[in-house]
Amino acid sequence: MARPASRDAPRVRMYRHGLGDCFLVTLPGVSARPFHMLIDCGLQMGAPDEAGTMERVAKDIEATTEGRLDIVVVSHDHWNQVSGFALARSVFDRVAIGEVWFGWAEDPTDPLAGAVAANRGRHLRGLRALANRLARSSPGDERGPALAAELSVPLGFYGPRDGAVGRRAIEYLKDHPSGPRVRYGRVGGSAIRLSGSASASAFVLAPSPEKAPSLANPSALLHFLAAAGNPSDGDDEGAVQSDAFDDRYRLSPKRAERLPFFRRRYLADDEAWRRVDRDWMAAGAPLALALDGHGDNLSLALAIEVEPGGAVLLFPGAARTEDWAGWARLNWRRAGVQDEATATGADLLARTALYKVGHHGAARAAPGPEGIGLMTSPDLVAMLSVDQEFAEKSGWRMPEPRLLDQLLRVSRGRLLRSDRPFPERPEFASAGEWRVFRDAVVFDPNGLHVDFHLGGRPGLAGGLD
Amino acid sequence: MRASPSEESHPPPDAAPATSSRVPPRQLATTPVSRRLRVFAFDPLLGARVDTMGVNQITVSIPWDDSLAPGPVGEYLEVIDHDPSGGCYYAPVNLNDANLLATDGLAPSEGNPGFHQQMVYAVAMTTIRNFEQALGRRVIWRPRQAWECGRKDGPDEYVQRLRIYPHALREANAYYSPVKRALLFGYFPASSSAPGRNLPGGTVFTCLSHDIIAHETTHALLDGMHLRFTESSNPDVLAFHEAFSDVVALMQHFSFPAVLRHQIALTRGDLASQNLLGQLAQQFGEAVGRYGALRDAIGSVDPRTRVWKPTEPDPAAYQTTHEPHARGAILVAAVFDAFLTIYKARVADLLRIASGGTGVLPDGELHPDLVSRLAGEAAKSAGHVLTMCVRALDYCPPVDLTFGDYLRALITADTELVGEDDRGYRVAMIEAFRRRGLYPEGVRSLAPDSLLWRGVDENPDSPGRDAPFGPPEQSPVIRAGGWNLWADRKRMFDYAGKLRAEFREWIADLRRTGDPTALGALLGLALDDDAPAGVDRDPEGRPRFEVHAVYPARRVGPDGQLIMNLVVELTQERKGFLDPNRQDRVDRGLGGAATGDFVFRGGSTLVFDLETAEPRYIIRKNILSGARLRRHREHLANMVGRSLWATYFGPSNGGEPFALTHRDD
Repeated sequence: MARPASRDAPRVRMYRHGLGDCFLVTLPGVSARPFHMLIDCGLQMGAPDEAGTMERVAKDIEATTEGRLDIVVVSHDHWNQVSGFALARSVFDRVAIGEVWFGWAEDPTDPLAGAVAANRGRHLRGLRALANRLARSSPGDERGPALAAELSVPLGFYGPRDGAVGRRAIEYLKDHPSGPRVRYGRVGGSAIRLSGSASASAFVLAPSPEKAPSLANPSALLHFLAAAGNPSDGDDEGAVQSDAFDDRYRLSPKRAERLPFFRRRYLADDEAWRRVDRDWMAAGAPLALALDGHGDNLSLALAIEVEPGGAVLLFPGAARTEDWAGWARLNWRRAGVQDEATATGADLLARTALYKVGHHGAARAAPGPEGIGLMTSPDLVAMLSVDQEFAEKSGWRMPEPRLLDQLLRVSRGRLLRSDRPFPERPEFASAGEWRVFRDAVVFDPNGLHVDFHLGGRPGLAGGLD
Repeated sequence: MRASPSEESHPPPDAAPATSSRVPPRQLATTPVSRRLRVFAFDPLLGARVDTMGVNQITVSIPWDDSLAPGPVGEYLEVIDHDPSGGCYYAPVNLNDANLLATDGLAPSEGNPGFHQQMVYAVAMTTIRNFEQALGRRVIWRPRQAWECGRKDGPDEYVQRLRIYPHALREANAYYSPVKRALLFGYFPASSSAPGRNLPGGTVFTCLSHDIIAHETTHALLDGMHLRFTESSNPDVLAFHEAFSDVVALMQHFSFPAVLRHQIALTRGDLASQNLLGQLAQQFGEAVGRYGALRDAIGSVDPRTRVWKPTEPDPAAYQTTHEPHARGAILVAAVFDAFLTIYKARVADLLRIASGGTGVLPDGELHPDLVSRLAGEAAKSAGHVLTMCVRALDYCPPVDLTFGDYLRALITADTELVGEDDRGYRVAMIEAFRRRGLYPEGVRSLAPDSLLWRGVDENPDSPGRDAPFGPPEQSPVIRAGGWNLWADRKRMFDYAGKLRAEFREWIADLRRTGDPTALGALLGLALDDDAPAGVDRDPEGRPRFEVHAVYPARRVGPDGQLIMNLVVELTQERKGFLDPNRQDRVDRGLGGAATGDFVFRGGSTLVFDLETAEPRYIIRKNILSGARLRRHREHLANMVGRSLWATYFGPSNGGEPFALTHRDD
């Protein structure tokens, strides 16, 4: 062996397991052991052989890290970020975990976080009730099942039993048998030295609690759901006046049926094409998606600096396009190193050498022209975890084609997709430049993962200067 | 001088009578001309604020409908108050109840569903009446095509009534559904944490907002007139639908002097200030932010000085704004700008008199007479602008409308009726559009003359300049003059169907006996055998075209001049492909395809003089235009939004193109 493993160049391993995220970051450690950070481990519900796949991934993680993960990061609570911790729990039982990081909204002691979580729970239960109601078709209405199918998309984000299993996976990590320290990240504060690593630090770009999904107008959703057939759990906060008018004005369907006016104009068969019995329910799916969109604001976004002044690995979580502009203006204190030097977001983004594309390349997570403009490093490599075929079968646009174009341009063709082999050299890249990139990428012969080595592959002469 | 639609309904002599039944002779008490009904002037919660108390109720006059039944159900509308999310129905109000007739309907009340029914009916009818007065004919709703009725073939089916559901949705939204020919209104709780002036936890009803009712009714009216204006072939099309509906709601609102009097007193005659605009759909806006784009397009409060100032129009905004509501707001701001200019010109002399020539009004409250006069002038200006905007619809191309096209339509329509623009209305419009970068294509200058649509003899490409449509005596235009007699909308609809068939025959004849290429070039169609293979063909292999619409445009000008025009719209279909190479191959007949990636349309609007059969204007959207085809293609590619909905469900908008707030935002 040429050099001790701990002095290997930093490496990012993207698992190629399907539509989901699982990244293993390996950095030089303080001792002989390298430092390992696992960022998310999940797979979309409905993917073929979910359990088997996640077990294979987990076992690879176990073997590679020799049973010890310094840090586990859960960026947000979608099933395709956390399913591995449920489906392959028995494997993770054997792994020692030093720290577990979540976004601020997971903090059980924070009242605002608690309110957000409670609302979310209520909303999901209500939407499920609505979906059930819709799925029960009524004669002459073809929209019901279609609307139910629409609703199943946002409901499916949270995994089986509307998020109950995913929730347990998160709790499992918090109470992991190896007793890890739990951190709830929020923007601001200082750089976090990654303990166990030689020189790396992490900077939290998001979430920012001020941007927490406004609890303003949850009443609209609750009001909507109150009619859907799942009244709130009886607590006063949720109680909503769901009737539009006093009882004395309400005519029950039975009474209305007896009135010629409604019988002739609304209930008659030849008037069926104009009925609006279910139109109101169509707001369910957009409301659910909007709810999910709010959840993006709560995800944990990190910039990992390999060493002070060195390359940066950017893991943006589920952050959205509009967030990037704000990142440039962030700054953090750096204790210890070089007195109280501060690091700025703009600087970190300019040094980003590895960009993990958010949300499987969906449009809303695109960095946008602002973000793209901030990632100016000539060495930038992008990693995109996606399964386009699977997404297309579900009718989803992932990755968004125009975002793909942007990424290819900003990374000069150095875009690694988990659902494709090594990319072709684009015309604008020189042969030399491309060879250097090729040498830094290692595909697992079993197709389970692909590694990108910053600074070139260990043991090879030369490498990225 | 211009005629204006007033609160009292006095239909011009040539318009169809308001009733659908004949008035029995020798009746001692004649049928009333109009019915008065009370409605909220602004959204209800304003009534709770001291400074607007007394303003929040107005009485509108709508044409008397003999056939009005409980619902209300009348000639044009049927209000069916089913509340599906509430699992109940509300009894239909009977506006012919003697008590209600005596008191101008129910008293405005948020808690009484009968009043909600009354209000939607009254405001929708007001909007319809304004349209009919401006257009000089009765309005028709979008008919049902054969396939919608489950038939493979056959004529369109007449839809007599637009349906209105005042409490159909349980969300902060309202929409016109083209499929159901219905308006659906929603209700929702005011936000508990940021209720604005709304009662926390109180219910906000979109069906109690004059502006929202007028806006959605206008969608339905426009849809009935221009069936293809829902086909999004360029960024302006859907934006226009939104903008036009906003313009009608705005201008209609301002045409009530009672409403304005209060505001004019407060703002001392300066209608551009925030107060007046801030009232628009305020309740809804505060709960949900609906009119944000519009308000910002017109003006905003400077965060430093906290003073409201008008927004400087930014021509670049039009280039970069694509979302329909926001893009439409630019057009609305332009029309509003023109309205302000017109109003200021009209009241200049009043202010000179009132200020003794100094231009500075005395401190303190304005004299009530002055306020009344100012309010009257504002209402008149609004009425005129509204009429101008509605009339322009008859001078629009049948498909692929742009804002620039609409400007030309405005100028042409107004020039037809008002020869001398002594009040500067046209100039005001042009200037307002210019400042926002809304330029028509292919015109040399923005002088009013240059903006007029062209007729036949001015068209350099027009073949056979003399009578390209054949001798006038043989033109079906002459025979189409029998429109006046039909008071009944259904008969009008049937007659229009017959006329369409006649015109179809006529054009087919012209093609057969004349030069199809030249004729096609004149009409924006591809009529000869060299037409691209992608153009729809009839069973005999000839390019197919349709006479999309035929209707009269009959107006009375301010000086008594009678304009009698016949508008004929022709359209054609062609397969469009996203890949230009594929398009080329298919058009050259080298590759068969059952359908294209999209439907590309072209054609023209012809405006004939009803008496002489002379073709006055030809407004073309050439089916062979490569530039238009490219633009349509690009538009489709760009239309993929960044919204959550677009990621998971593609570029649709949640199913309803005319929702007040798009659910996918």
